[in-house]
Amino acid sequence: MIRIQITLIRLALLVFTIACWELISYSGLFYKEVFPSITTILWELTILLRTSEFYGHTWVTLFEVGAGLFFAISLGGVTGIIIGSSQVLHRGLDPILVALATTPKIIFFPIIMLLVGIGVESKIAMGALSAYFPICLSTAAGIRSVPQVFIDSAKSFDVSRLQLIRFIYFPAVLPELLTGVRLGLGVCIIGVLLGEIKISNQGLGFMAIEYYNMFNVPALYASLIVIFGMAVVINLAIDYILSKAVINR
Amino acid sequence: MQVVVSTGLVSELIVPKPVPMVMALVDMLQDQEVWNFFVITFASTLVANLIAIGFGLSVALLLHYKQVWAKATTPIFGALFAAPMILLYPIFLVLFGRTQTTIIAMGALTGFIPIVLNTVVALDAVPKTLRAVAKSYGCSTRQEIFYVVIPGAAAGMFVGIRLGLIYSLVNIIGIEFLINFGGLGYLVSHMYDLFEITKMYAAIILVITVSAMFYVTLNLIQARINRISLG
Repeated sequence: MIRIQITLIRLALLVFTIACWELISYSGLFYKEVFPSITTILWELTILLRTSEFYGHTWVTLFEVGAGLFFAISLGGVTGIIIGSSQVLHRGLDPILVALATTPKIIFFPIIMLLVGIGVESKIAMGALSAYFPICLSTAAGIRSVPQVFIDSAKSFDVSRLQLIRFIYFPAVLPELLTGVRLGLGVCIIGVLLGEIKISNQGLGFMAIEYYNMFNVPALYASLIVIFGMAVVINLAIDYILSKAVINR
Repeated sequence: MQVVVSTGLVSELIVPKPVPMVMALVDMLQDQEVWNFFVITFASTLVANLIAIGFGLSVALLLHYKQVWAKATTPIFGALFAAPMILLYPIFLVLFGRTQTTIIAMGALTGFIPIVLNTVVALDAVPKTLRAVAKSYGCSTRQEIFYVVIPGAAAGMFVGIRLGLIYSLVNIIGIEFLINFGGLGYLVSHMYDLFEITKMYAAIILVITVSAMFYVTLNLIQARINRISLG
């Protein structure tokens, strides 16, 4: 009974939102160009999905996100393990990392552009920088949470440093690392898209801001629907992959 | 770093020497215009959060007393929390133009969601015994909310407000940077546009410091609230 009620409420909210939008669109309160009707937006969406240009932009963005996440996992995982396994490094660097993690990463974009130019590399770097902090901090926290008794027991078996990492640290840190990857992916997508919006000539962020510059508002809404949809699908996919990885561990 | 840049291994056009950078930062702190940027960013964050807190707490209270609605909408809020909300700013630009209203609206939107999510959790966590005691003393629903539920959930509610403030500040600075308008974010973007690299680095350090101080202050307030609510 509750399930039916929940479904009905969600349906009612959807209908209410669409009705409000259409009402505003036809009321004349805003310019029709600013608040286009939902049918106009959906029509633009179908046009957008039929253009080859759109798929070109999508592949560029997906490549930038993938590469950015790869660098963030590599650097964040390694530095997280190093920082987490050393008391001194952790005490010294953790406050700095936390402070940097709370800073809006987009303000580093000018430095990135100076270092690697304004091409695809700058968006990859932006994505990597955004995702680096949650991955590094989660990994370090995971390493710190390994009970000392595990480490002492392993050492009593005279294991090497590599074996300690392979059999104690890595299995213990995997859930935290995966949480970091999950968090990192979200901010990586944002970082890449914001970089594309700021300065680029390709990618979904560029496409959306181009529609804004041309005042093609229905196409802007359509492109934002695609971007949000893509973000949801990527998040769900990574959730699925990560949950499989944990089960198989 | 001073040595590396002085020897020419790294161009001064990419990374400035640390000493002039610090001097530029000191100059900035004595510049009234920079303080104005600071005030603009913080005033925007404050106004955005007052709106977010007003709407967020009202929605959360409503959801707390209508559990079916809470069950139906919490996953939606959760999905929105994970969504890249900052990318909606072109829509707000279309609606409000390149004005402070756009920045405040975006700040309010990004602050609103964590406030709702955390407040609902905090309100649900208030022990039923406390409510039963309030009822046994003949408290009305209004009295129960103001004297039992809200004080009991204060620490958890502040977790949401703290997150809302941090998200708002981050998004507001980000949008200021992207649209070249407003406070501290605009300062960084403006310095880059002028190719004043030393001043740009100084501005970035200023933003990092401000964000870190904001974060630490909120954590201290949270710790104090936790102490008060625990005992």
